[in-house]
Amino acid sequence: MSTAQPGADNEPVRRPTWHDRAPGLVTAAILVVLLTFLTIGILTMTVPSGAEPPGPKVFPTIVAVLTGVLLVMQLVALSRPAVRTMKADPDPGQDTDDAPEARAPGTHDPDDVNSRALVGAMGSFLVFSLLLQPVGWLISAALLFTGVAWSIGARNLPTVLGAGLAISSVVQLAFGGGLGLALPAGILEGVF
Amino acid sequence: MDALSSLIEGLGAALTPMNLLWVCVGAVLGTAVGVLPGLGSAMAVALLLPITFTLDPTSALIMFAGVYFGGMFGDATSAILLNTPGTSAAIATTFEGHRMALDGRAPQALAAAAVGAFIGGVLATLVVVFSAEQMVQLALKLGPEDYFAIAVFAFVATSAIVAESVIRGLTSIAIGLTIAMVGVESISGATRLTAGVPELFDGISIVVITVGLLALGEVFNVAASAGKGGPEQVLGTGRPWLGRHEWRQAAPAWLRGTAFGLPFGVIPAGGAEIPTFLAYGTERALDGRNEPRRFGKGAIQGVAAPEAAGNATAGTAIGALLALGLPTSATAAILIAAFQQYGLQPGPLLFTGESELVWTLLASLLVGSVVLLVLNLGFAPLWAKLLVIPKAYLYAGITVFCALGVWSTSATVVDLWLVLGIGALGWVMRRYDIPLAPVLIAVVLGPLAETRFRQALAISQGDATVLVTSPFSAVLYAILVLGLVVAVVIRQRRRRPARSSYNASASSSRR
Repeated sequence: MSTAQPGADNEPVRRPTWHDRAPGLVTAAILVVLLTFLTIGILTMTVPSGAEPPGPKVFPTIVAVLTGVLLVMQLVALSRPAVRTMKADPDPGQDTDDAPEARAPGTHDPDDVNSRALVGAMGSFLVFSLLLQPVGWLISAALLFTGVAWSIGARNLPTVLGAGLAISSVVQLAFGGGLGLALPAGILEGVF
Repeated sequence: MDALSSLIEGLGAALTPMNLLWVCVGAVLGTAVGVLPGLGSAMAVALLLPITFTLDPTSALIMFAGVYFGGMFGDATSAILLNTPGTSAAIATTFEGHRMALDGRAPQALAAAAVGAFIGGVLATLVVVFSAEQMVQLALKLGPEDYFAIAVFAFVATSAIVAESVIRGLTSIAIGLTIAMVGVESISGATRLTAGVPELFDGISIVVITVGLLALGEVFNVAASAGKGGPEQVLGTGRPWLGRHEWRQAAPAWLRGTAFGLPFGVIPAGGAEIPTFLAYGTERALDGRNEPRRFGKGAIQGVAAPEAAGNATAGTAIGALLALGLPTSATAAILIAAFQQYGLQPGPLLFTGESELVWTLLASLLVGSVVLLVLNLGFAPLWAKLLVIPKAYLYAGITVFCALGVWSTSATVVDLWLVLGIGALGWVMRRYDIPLAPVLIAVVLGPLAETRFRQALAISQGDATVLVTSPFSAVLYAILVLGLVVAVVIRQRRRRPARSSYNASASSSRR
């Protein structure tokens, strides 16, 4: 790490790194997006005539004000010149009910994102959403499975493809056939 | 003994073969999901929600009851055997539990956890059964300003007091409130925040939000860290068997843990994390009087108490959910959505309008606890085998079910894009320590808060003081301010012992 210098109250203090600042910067970015979205939404909203006094704009305005206050607080916190070393090891998810605590070792390093795998997984889902209606559930879901499994690291293509087809077929039979869920048949229209 | 006769009637309804089957299906699914790291029962319910819409409400809710408790039971298995707690509620169990496993006492740890979860769950359900009437009476006396106060309390408690960073916790609330406002607003009929997209006029479905944040977000998280970390080792098998000595050590810990868990289920503070840690801390402090100390070497109390506390919280949370319509954790928030899917609104009126369903549900929580005790006491090592499925296949399968769940709610491509976007948001939030549970609480309670807020102001003709002058809301806000002060003081104090041996050993045992 960097050079430690004694802080005002005898806490070890060091220069903030990207690692320390990233959560704050990302939070600020999210808040900016929210504030913009809310402000545009409130300004362009058409209130129906005859709406009772605390109208539909009041609550969004309250949330927008909250967002603005949070943004200011976050920017002030970010502008602090130094951070205490007590939170060198962030514990993501610890404060949520169902958020994951368990993750693979190594995920704590913020510069260490397997971006190819991440883009692969997200891309597979996007492709699925575009293929589903024209091509049908059976094929597009099998491709979705294959794409995500391949991105995460399964390299045995025949096995993965087979597993994907098996899952999409089982879903088609159990939920489409059994429970009567309308899954698009796509190019296999008439086969089922 | 009105409650008792209602409960017996409920048991009669819950013990029909079909309903018994649904409890078992729920328990198995819940345990399976609980064992898998990173997945909680909230996600399981969210994925099942659209798929079960063809079932009748009683069957579906009974199954969800099994899933709800099952998630807590299963969580302990991976915490003990693998040192990977699936949700934050199981972290406290991990410390001593995994040490017991390393020590060759995994079966005993699993048994202590399963029995503890059973005791906590059953006692909490009984408390709900016998206090439901009073809770309903209280709920009927509350006015709109009181419900608004409850919602505000839930927002601040889940985000500011519980979360590590106040700003990030409240940001999470703001995200949830904003998402909840999308669509045609119910009082005046104004269209809000839809950017003119007609598919958004009905609002964003809670299924899309939950599946995106919890399930797809976790898939992306796994993908982002793919290729790192070695194979995990599953420890210990064998029959769980507690000796008489262990029973004597664990029994008081189970009861103390339950006592910690019971009140927290009713407090909207984000779930079972606080009571499990309180229970763990108490046992650790009590152990300080022993010579030699047992904590740090695999103390059975360190497993027994947090597990009992966790399930006791889950149990009374159901009470708050049914009687007050108040979700106190992310899973409870999804369960509200489940009720709403069937046109049922949890709250005091549910007890009068749908009393049969309510009592069957409460009875199936008891039945579910018994089923889960058998499932987990007998087959815990078998559950751990689930972790042998390669990650790539597991999460690819989960992705397919995300797609299925979302498609079956609405059958629109727009919802698939939304879930993808929310999944990406979920990944970002995980990565940068922004808590997820407050989003879900805000999504569920946001519309309620707004409606009550506007009702209260309409009644008082714009006089905002009405919001704080009712005795109930005044007391609630006072508690909230007090809690904030205490939280700030604790945070200040924690700066000093943060690097002491306690936290050092705690964080090292988590890896």
